[in-house]
Amino acid sequence: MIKTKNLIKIFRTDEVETTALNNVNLEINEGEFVAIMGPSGCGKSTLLNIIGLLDNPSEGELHFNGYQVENYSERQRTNLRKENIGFVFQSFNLIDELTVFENVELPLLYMKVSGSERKRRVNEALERMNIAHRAKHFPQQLSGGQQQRVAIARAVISNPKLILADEPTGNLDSANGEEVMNLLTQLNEEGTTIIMVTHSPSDADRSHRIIQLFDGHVVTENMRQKL
Amino acid sequence: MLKNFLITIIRNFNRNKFYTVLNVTGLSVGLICAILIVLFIQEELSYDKYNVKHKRIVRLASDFTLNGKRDRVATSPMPFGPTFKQEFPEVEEFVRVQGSGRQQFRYGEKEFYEERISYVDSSVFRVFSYKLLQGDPDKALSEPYSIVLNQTLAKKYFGDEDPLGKVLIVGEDRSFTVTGVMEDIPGNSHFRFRGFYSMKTLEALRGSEEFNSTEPITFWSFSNYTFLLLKENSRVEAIKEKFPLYYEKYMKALGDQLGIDYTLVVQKLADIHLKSDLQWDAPTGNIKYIFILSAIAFFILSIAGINYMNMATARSTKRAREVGVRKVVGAHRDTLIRQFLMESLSLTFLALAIAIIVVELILPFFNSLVDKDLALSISETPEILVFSVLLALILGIVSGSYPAFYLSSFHPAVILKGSTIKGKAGGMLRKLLVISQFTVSAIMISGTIIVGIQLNYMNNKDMGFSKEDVLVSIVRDSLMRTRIEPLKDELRKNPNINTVATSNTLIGFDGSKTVHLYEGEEGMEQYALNFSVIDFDYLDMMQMKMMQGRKFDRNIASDTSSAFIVNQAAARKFNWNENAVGKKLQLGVELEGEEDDDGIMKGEVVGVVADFHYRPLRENIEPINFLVSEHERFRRVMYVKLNQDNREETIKYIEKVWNEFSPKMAFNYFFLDERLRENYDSEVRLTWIFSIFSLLSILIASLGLFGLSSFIAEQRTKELGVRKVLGASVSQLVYLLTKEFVKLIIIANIIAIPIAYWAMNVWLNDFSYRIQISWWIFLLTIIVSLAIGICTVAWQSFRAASADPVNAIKYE
Repeated sequence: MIKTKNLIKIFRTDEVETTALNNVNLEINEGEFVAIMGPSGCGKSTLLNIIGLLDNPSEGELHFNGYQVENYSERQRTNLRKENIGFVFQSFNLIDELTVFENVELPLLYMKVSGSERKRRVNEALERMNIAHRAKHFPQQLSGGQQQRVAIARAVISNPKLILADEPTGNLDSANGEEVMNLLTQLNEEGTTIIMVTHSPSDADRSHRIIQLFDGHVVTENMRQKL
Repeated sequence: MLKNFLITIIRNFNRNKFYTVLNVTGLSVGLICAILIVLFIQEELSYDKYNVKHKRIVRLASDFTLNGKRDRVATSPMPFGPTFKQEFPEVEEFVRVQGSGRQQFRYGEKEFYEERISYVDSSVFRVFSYKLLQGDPDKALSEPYSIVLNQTLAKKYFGDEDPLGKVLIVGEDRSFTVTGVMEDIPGNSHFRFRGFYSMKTLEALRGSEEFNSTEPITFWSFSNYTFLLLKENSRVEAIKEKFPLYYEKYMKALGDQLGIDYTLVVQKLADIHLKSDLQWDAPTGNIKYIFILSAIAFFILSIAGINYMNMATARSTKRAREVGVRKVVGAHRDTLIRQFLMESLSLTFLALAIAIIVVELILPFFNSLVDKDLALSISETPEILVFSVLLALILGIVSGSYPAFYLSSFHPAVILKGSTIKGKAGGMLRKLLVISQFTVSAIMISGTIIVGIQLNYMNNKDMGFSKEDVLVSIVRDSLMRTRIEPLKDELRKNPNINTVATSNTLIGFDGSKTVHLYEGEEGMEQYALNFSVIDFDYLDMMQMKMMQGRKFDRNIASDTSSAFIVNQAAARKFNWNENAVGKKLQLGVELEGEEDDDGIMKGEVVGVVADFHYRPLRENIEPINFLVSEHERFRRVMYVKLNQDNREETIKYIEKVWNEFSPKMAFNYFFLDERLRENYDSEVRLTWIFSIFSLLSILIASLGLFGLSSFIAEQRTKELGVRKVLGASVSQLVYLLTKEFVKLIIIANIIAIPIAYWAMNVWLNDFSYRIQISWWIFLLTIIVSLAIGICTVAWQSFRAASADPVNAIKYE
């Protein structure tokens, strides 16, 4: 599903040049659950952003579903993203001015889904995340775990083939973190490909494969046998 | 999607009440100014256009030069109307208008002085769109001693009675029959007639032969206003092109003999108000003020728009996450741009709604300031409302575009990582915007100061005569005029009355000008000279200084027949300089073939009076000639110099004496200095407009600065906390936050000074007597704008600086 070839990402400021990714070669298949690990600043989030089409690589190739996409325009990337990719962030990134329902609804608005259809799908997603009773609340009125469930509902609302999760449990206590991981695992079991950046070994245990990054390089790839 | 936009917008406003209120206030105030100014300008531009045929109506005016002295007057000779109709096939109709000054009207017990009622031809209702409510427009003014009143006057004298056929006594004993009542003439007319006497009345008074005379001499007295209605499809230029032939036929012979160069001036009716700058005209507007006001409106709106841009971009970090999330879940950039534009448009339209309400509320006050009758309503001024909506639309789009493009350009990958975007990107631009705002404010402040000083200068300048405590009354009773000396004696019995004097013209307002012959180096030369006929007490009462020779003397019999006193300007003009006394002067010239020398006076100069300002300070002091007479003809204006004490009693005393001498004509007076001040009405109005709008522009700029400084203080919370932990005092921190703005305001002033200096010099050049712009005005401007700026910034800075550093350091 995703293939990178000699992916390089260099950040330049006036004085400093930082190589965030250096010759990263990866292949991730449909239905996989992959965890990316590594110390702070090793390039995990950068890799995730590039795979998620939020950022462009400086060099190298990126293939998504068989298309070579690293030179796509912003408009093409946006279109590809909204159909195929859902995001879950450490800091949830819900819009404060919108209610739970409206936050989850947002991707469907940009996909021009009809009102009644939107309502049906949002309610369904909220039920599934067990947060439907909070539909009319604003993000600040929810606990961290609840916010993250809303964020996941938003990520899955468009039925994406791929979910990118950037330390999804990083801001949560263990109970809530556990719940979020359960949801992600469940999604994966239903066929959604998941790529997750994490610091937590126990979270990584849920994945099929762990990719270790260090200073922009892929150090090891551990295939894990599902128990 | 639209719903989602609106929800976000409303919740955003709600969540950021402080900035929303600042923004809406700024935009509303900007729009209020703009709407008021647009109303004002629209009214100025609409003058006389309510006349359906205004495009075909022209006024004939005169531009003539006699002995190198050029005069341009709004009037024309009496025979122009009928002879133009006869000679020019383009002319369909003519209307002559001759003023009659203030007159006393009497009906039963009711007795008032009325003005702005003129003698006009009966064609007036066919040419102008004045609507007759009662009476027949074709016949109302066709008979002598007919009068048409406007509604207000008709109501005033006749109440609920039917005015038609009623008889009004005008002046001492002239009876006029009311033959019509017309609608009040709208305020946007250059002539605001309140009624008409029939022109036939003048014909009856003077005799048909004299009145209708086309003798050559009648073409050289510019005594009335002439309006022509041209036929459809005829060109205004045609009149000018064909005029030389007309001139040849009617005017050239005598014109050459008098040595006058004459040019016909043809003015379109709708141009008179703003573009005419002729003498003897009705008070006109000034196209310059239209430009100034348009510029002010533009600047104030820009300041308000800049505020919005400034605050929107400054607060972009707060919005960044929303942008990131929206982009991640699939928003294209153009969708976001649309969203942000919609946000700015909602704000401006909210501001517009407030502005319209406020304008409605303050319009009466504004009207009284600018002496107009402006109205804002859907029925009367739909175009203004449409224009306001357009204005808000443009304002919203222009001020919203930059933030929209800026905000929508954020990269989600950067934002969502959690790192905040520093407001740096717009930092330079924001500085430029603050500078431009304060530049405009500084120009407005210095402009206000300069206009104010000039006005003060004009009001207080030594006019060269004593204008204070002079009560003036116009003597309309002809019997009374023959008894002026006994009246003066009677008045002087009151210890609070110093002097009483009379003259034929009101000093500073009306004057007569006629051809004089003066003793030049090569014999007698011609000059059109102002003159005034005064009595023996006049120069003393006015406290005019003699520079050469003597004053008029009762004991010298020849003074009334052959003595002149001129001013210094005349002595200079005629090259007499220090030796004016004894020079020959002659008022009026003998014409070839004319036997009688009526109106000609030959004599010598007996004295030179120091120059005095008998015209507004806009104008230079022109040469003037005084002659003395106690003849009743010349005792039209009476001046009474009062003591400061018991003024009210003294006035009552004057009234009592007056009524004894003139039981028929009521006592009516004004004070000379007050009347002179009215000369500066338009400057006073300009001062007001300048003050109000500069105040508002400063207010808007301050709002922006307030918002910006609070934002910056907020943004630098952490830095301030660290500095405080390291030992900085509150005052040091306030200084740190304030100095940036102080720098910007000083730069703004440096830019503003040359612009203001130039612009105000252009304005001051209209005045012959003007102040010089001195450096302290600009110093004051800098101090004022700094004071306002610092006060605005200091509060927020102080709050930020005195906050608990522990909270600050934790701030993220």
